[in-house]
Amino acid sequence: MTGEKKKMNVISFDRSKKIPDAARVAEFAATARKLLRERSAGDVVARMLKETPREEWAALAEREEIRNSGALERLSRDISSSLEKEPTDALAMSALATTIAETLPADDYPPIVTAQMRAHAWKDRAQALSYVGRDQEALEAIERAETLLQPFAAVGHDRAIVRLVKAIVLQHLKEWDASLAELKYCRQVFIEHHDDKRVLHCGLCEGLLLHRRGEYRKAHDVLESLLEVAQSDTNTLAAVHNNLALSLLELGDYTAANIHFSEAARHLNDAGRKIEAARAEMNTGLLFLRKGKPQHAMPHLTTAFNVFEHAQMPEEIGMCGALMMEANLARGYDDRARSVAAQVARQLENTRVSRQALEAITYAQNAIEAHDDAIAAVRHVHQYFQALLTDPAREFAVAR
Amino acid sequence: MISAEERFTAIYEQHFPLLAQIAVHKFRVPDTEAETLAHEVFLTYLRKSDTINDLRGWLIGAICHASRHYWRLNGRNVNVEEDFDFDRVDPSSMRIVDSLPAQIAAREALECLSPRCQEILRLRYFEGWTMHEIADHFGVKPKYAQKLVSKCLRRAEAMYGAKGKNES
Repeated sequence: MTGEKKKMNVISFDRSKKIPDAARVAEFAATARKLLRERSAGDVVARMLKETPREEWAALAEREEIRNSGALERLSRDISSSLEKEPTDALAMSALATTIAETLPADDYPPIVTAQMRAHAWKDRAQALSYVGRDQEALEAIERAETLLQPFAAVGHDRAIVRLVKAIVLQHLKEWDASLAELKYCRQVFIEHHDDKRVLHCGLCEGLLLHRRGEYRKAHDVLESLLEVAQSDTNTLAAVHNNLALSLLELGDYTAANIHFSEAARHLNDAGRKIEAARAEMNTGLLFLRKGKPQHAMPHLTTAFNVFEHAQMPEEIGMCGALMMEANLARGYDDRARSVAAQVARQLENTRVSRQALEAITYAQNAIEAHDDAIAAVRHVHQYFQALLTDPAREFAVAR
Repeated sequence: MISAEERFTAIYEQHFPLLAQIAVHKFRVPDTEAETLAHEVFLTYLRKSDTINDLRGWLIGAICHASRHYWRLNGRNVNVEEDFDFDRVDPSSMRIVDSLPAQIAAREALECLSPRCQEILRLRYFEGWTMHEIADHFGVKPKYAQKLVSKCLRRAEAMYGAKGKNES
């Protein structure tokens, strides 16, 4: 290339030519000041939620002290952390957040910041809806978020965050190709923004998608390539190990699967995420059961059961207890299965699910006693407790 | 010790010129619009400042993305002079380039290509991206982007020829 041509391709840069306009600097400084000041509203909203019954959270949207960015940021964090343990809380918080965001006066913040706040509230709503299986409504929430961001060119990163959630919802709806296309778009935007953490999340989602589509070898290869880059992020590393283990299990490599499951649980425990670690243990137990390895399932299920018992999580106690009954029945230990049923019944007394729970457990106990396809009965009970997570008012009905 | 607000303002004043220059010179966004884009990038940064590890990288990525989106929202009217070197067609592909727009059937040939080739040719010939934009999109140098386009065109030609033979 000649010197002249080389010169043509170099961007000339002269700082003096682009001094920011004083009015814009002032607007930016005022917005920064306002957002910083409002951060304290995060504690206010947390306190209000604690002191108010969940059924009345919607009315909090009228309280002036939480109608701001700080409260919305805190709600977003709390929704994210409640998704696993209390999805119904997450759902109620997300409804509160969208109401606050949508009714904020248009001139409180610069238009692009208002759009950003509203879009993120809808994105959180979509996540919460998706967690309780309301995927079509989740897609509608995503659509609202995308519409809010549409007029602005400078919200590419926010747009990709919204579309990452869309990719996950599309996976739940088994729209594999559409989900992959979204992931591809998001990964490109996150790479461009040097957002390594979300690039990693895109990889995780792709691995999960391939796994769900039954392409276990491909899923394994995608996930394995993430192990090294995920080292700096304990939570993501745990998720990579967990999903790798799931793929290995399908590929029949039980030893390697067990190692990765243990790593996942270790990292979650290290990160203080005991509940998620227990959930991972329970899933491990379930998968070993389904693979006809009940002897490998029991240690995982027992560990998980103890955590759920300690955390007083009735639905999970019921689910895990039913799996423990199944593991014992599969090994011919009917007495132990009965003893687990009695233990679960004791644990669930006086909890929010006690009446239905006792009906379900009694049904399992009777089936074990009568040797009447007891495994099918305890599986039905497991499904019932699982359904209670998303439908707390569900009544127990015997299997037909 | 400076306050958080002062820190934000310092970041704005330090990086604003760079962002506006990138929008103007790299993407040829008009001056006033470029400054608006840079300003809006900073506004969106405020609510996520705690989660950004590489500030400069994030800001540059954001302005590049915003500039491209600006053109998608406002329609393209780009002076392609700067792209001239890269837009010169590989002589071996000249015949296909001349005939491609006229031959809708070429779309069928495109469908037989790899997804990457399909995307490259779609961006170049159906969406009118410049070679610089394609290079940015795929994270390669413009010269390599030019090679990719030529290679995909040759494959399209082979596919097109094969389809013609099968149909005749």
